[in-house]
Amino acid sequence: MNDDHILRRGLLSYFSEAQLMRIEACRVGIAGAGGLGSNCAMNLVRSGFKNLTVVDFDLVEPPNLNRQFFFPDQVGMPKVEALRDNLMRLNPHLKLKIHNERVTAENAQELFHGCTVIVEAFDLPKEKQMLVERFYHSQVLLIAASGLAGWQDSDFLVTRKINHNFYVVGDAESETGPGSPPCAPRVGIAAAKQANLILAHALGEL
Amino acid sequence: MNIYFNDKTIPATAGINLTDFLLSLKINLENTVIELNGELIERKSWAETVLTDNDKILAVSFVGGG
Repeated sequence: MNDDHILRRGLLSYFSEAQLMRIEACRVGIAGAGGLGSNCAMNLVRSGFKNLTVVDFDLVEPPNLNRQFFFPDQVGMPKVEALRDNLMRLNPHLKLKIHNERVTAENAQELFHGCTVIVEAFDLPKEKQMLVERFYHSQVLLIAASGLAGWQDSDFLVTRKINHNFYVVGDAESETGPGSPPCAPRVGIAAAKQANLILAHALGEL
Repeated sequence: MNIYFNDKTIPATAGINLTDFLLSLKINLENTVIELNGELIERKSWAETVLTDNDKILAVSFVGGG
């Protein structure tokens, strides 16, 4: 039995062919393949997205496994390669572009060329600032995140619409630091909220 | 003069530049994106951007974690 299209066949239990084609047509750029980026990508692929561009310069390390979509046998691999392998298990027909390098103000436009949506999934606030500044008021839908560490009430993680092309998910306050580590539940919720905005966008309902 | 900052009215010294205004509010410059009267002002231009009465600033700050 040819099981190549199992995910797609399953998705057609929930989406019409026209809806799924809209989802598949959308190219999403993911800046950072850590807690936000890897989980957002997983949510997107499960939802039918096929065209993803993922950029990260890091390797999978043991402390990542508490929240990132990687497995112990992938420690030491470049995150973009490990993520590609995991996403391809879900959908071998992905049109995935991966770049194992750091996103900078200079290369961002080129790396994410062709993307109509960009997920800001960085760890450091100055990198978040850089990416948002780069794509602010562009034609691209920009979905950022800020404030997701710890285990405070997850209902504080909200979606803020800054303008029609820019959303920020999180509680805006909970920074990672001593006593406030990044943990799977809140990071996963923020990543899923980012993916949900993109799904609504692709279906024309954002 | 008055500056509208994230929907609050804040008195400011005439002639103040964007960097000094943000510092007076203890805004972390490295982590913040600024829109002034609907236009993005890149961080590198803040020091030379002089504010005028009734300017409207939207600031979005980021904290670490991802």
